[in-house]
Order: sequence, then C-alpha cells, then structure tokens
Amino acid sequence: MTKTMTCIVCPMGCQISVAEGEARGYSCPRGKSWAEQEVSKPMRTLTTTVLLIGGEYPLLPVRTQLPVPKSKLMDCLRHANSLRVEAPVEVGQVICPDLAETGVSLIAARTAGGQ
Amino acid sequence: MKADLVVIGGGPAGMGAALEAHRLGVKDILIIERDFSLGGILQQCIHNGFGLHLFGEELTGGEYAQRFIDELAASGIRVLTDTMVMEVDSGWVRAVNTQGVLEIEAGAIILAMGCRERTRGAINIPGTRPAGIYTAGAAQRLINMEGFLPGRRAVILGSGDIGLIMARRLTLEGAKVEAVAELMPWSNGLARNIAQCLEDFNIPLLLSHTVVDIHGTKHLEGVTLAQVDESFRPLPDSRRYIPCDLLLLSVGLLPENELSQKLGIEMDPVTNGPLVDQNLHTSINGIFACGNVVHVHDLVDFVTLESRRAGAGAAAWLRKSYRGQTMAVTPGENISYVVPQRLTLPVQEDVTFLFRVKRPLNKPVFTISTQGEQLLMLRRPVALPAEMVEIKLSPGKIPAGGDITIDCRGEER
Ligand code: SF4
Repeated sequence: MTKTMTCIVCPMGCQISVAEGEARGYSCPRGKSWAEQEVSKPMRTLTTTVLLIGGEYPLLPVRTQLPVPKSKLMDCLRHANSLRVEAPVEVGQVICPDLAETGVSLIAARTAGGQ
Repeated sequence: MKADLVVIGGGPAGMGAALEAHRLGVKDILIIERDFSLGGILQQCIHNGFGLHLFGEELTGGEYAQRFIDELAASGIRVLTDTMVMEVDSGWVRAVNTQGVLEIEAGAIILAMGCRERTRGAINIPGTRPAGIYTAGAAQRLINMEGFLPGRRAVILGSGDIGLIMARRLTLEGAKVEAVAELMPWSNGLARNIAQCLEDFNIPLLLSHTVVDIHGTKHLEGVTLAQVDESFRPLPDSRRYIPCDLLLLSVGLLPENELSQKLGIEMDPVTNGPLVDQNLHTSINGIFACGNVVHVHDLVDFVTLESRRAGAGAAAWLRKSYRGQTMAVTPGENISYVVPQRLTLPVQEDVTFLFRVKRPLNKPVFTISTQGEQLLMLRRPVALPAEMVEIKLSPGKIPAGGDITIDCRGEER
C-alpha cells in the first residue's frame, strides 16, 4: 500500500509517498525521516495559549517542546486549557513538565512581564 | 528630537533593519511603534514554522520576535512605543503620542509599517451586513491575544496562510469549521498548511468556490457558497446554504502605504509598495523601505533578510549620501513582479531578486537576461504564485547598462 503525504517539516511542502516502508519524493533527509515517522506514528507540535494571571496580556502563548503523538493532540489541549500561569514568565520557561502523560513539556513561547 | 536613523514600525522588518544598521556602526537609532509592544503581527502568530531559514529551528511567531526584542534591549537602540507616525519627508518625521507631537530630524528613514488585510469591501461580497464577519487576522488577535472566541461554527473565505492557520486554531478552540472556500482553482497557502491545518482536521477545501450571499440581520446566520467557472462567474446550480455564525476573510494582504503615498514616493502598481533598488532605497533620497510594506512576503525569514539589506543600505547612505545611475529590473513572461525594481550602479554585492510567478508551473526554468543575453538560468521542480522565489546574482554577472528581465517558462499544471 502506498501512502502519499505533504511534508510539513519546511515550507517547500514536498509530496512524499511511502510504499513498503520506503519513502520517495523527499528533497532532504529530514523529510525522509519525517515521512517514515508519519506512516507509523504521526507526531505534531501543539501551539496554543494558557491563561496568564497578573500579566500585561490575559493569555500566554505556549508550545510543546517536542512534537507529541497526533492522536494525543486533543488530550494535550485539554490539559493545557486547565493550566493557569502567573506572570512574569520568560520565553522557554517550562509551564508543565509532562503534558497529558506524553512525557513532553509545555513551554512559554514569549516573555510576558507583570502588570 | 534627532536621530541618525529613524525606523517606522517595530515588527520583524523594523527590528531586523535597526539591528543590522546598528551592527554596521550606526549608533543613534530610534524605532517608532504604534502598538504598546514590539513584535508586530508576530505577537498574534502563536503557531510554529518561523525561523527555519534563519535559525534552523521551528519557532513560534512570539519566539521569533523575542530573539529580536532581546537583542534590541541589549543594543541601546531607542524604542518609542504607543507612538504613531503622521508624516514623513526626506530627513524628517512627525509623530504623535500621549506626550504630544514629536518632530524628529533623521539622517535616514526606514519604512517598515508592514501590511494590512483586505476587507469585505475590497472584494464586494453581496448580502446583509450582520455581525460575525471578521478578517482572519482580526480573529487571530481576538483569539490568541485577547482570549475571545468570535463564533462556534465558521466558514473561511480565502485559503491564504492566515485563513488556513485560523481553520486549525478555531478547531482547537472548539469551534467547527465547515469549509474553506477559495475562488482560485489553486490555494494561495503553503502546501504544509493545507496538510497540517485542514487535512489533519478533515476540514474541506473547496477550490473554485466563493461566498455569493450572506444571511442574517443582527448576527450572521449563514452563507451561501457557489462554485465558479473559469471566468469566476458563480454557477447557479451549485449554490449551497451553510449555517454559520462566523465568516473569516483571508483574501489577501495589502502593504500599508498611507505614509509613503503622502510622501509622493514612486510606487509599484503590482506590489502596491514603494519602488526600491537592491539596497531597498526608495525614489526619495535617504528613505528606505523593507518587509511587507514593500511587497507581501510569505515567510518572515525573508522579511528579516530583506530588512538587513535595508539596514545596511541606510548605514551606507549615512556614511556617504551618493546615488549612482540606475537600471530597471522588469518582470517578464509569467512573472507578476520583481523586487528590487531597479539596480543602482555600481553593484558591489550579490543582488537578491525576490519575485512571484503569475500561475502554477511544473519544472519551471527561470532566466535572468539583458537585451536577449542570458545572465543566469535556474531550474526548480515547481513554481506556485503563493511561494516567493529568491534568486541571487553576483556583481560580476551584472551588465554595465541596459535593463534586466526575469522570465519563467515551464509546463502548465
Ligand atoms: S522533504 Fe525536506 S525539503 Fe521537502 S518539505 Fe520536507 S523538509 Fe522540506
């Protein structure tokens, strides 16, 4: 069985097909390993916001430090939605060390001062 | 007030230009920003995908901006936020903030005001005028910065990247996105965004479709979609009503050029931005422009690279205010525009040409030529109007006079 997909690793967006575990159509090694991962266990980086208490903005943008399994995106989102963070926050600061039992941490994606 | 260099706009373009000029020895720099913080549109771009070219990492918009904000804080470059520039002329800027009116003398000026979204008025959608219709970027700011979800059942018109990104964002926030409708037979967004923002969430992309009617009196109740033929006429039999309380418009961006126009800068009618040379120098002495104010970019990395060239151009101008003879760069076959639109001689460094094709082509061959003589040829696997093409030409290849034309030929897709 052949699976075709658009590589999301960079803006080139190569069309890659994988048949019997062998990938074709990639333009670089990152695309090759991404496609092999995509057919066995697709992974995505989650970006969203969490509530920021006492900050200059009401929301703090956050992201998973590493990609998480695509099938767990919604669990991760629900977990992130339950979090509250107090300002000030530095970019890169760990907001939650293990998001929805993925073993991946959620980190701040900007610096936000207090009011 | 006085500054060697005044940069108008504190988004990625303004920050990149100011930092490069600073690195090249310009010490007295002032950035003027109308928002209360630096970062421009990147602040509301909480998704990742920024910085691959420049930093070799996938950053979110905020993380990308933060690197420049931190560098600025360490540089001693002055920043005035909450300040709006009202007027610009050669060597002079007038701005206003809560303190009053500021008159600033400037050795050089860089315009970096970015762009804004086209609105419903710009594309003439018929129907009533209820609440619930937003540009995609306005909705992005509401959701990502202010924490307000403007609707629960959405239709998105236009498949530009912001529209695609917002389709995913709305879905993650619990709204249902019924469809993304695109007038053209191809999408204007990056292929990766169609994959990770629509296909991942089973959101249909309806190509050659548009909104032909809007329903609801006080608040939006639904839209009518229809397929269009090759001349973009809606096909009556394809009309279909979709109930929704939110319509997002992602129908293009326009460079923000009120200031440039008031100033009488020479403009490019295709980009809607100022005409510039390879140093991003406009038609007015000492006034430079970079980023989305010149032409709308699809990647912020390219904005930063272009801004650095503008910063370097301004730094050189401050050392020696001299302008040489110019030659024109013109878009040829299947090319909609080229930036820079002219070269100032002598050319001493590699020239970066940025341009877009008019329609999608397979196996395109790009040529740069002068009076029929080919200077450079380049092959690529595909060319799409949504993806800006970058070609560099070394100074040795640039002729001493005449004009330069860029063409693209390939197989129709
Ligand atoms: S295969 Fe490589 S070049 Fe192609 S989209 Fe993926 S990462 Fe980019």
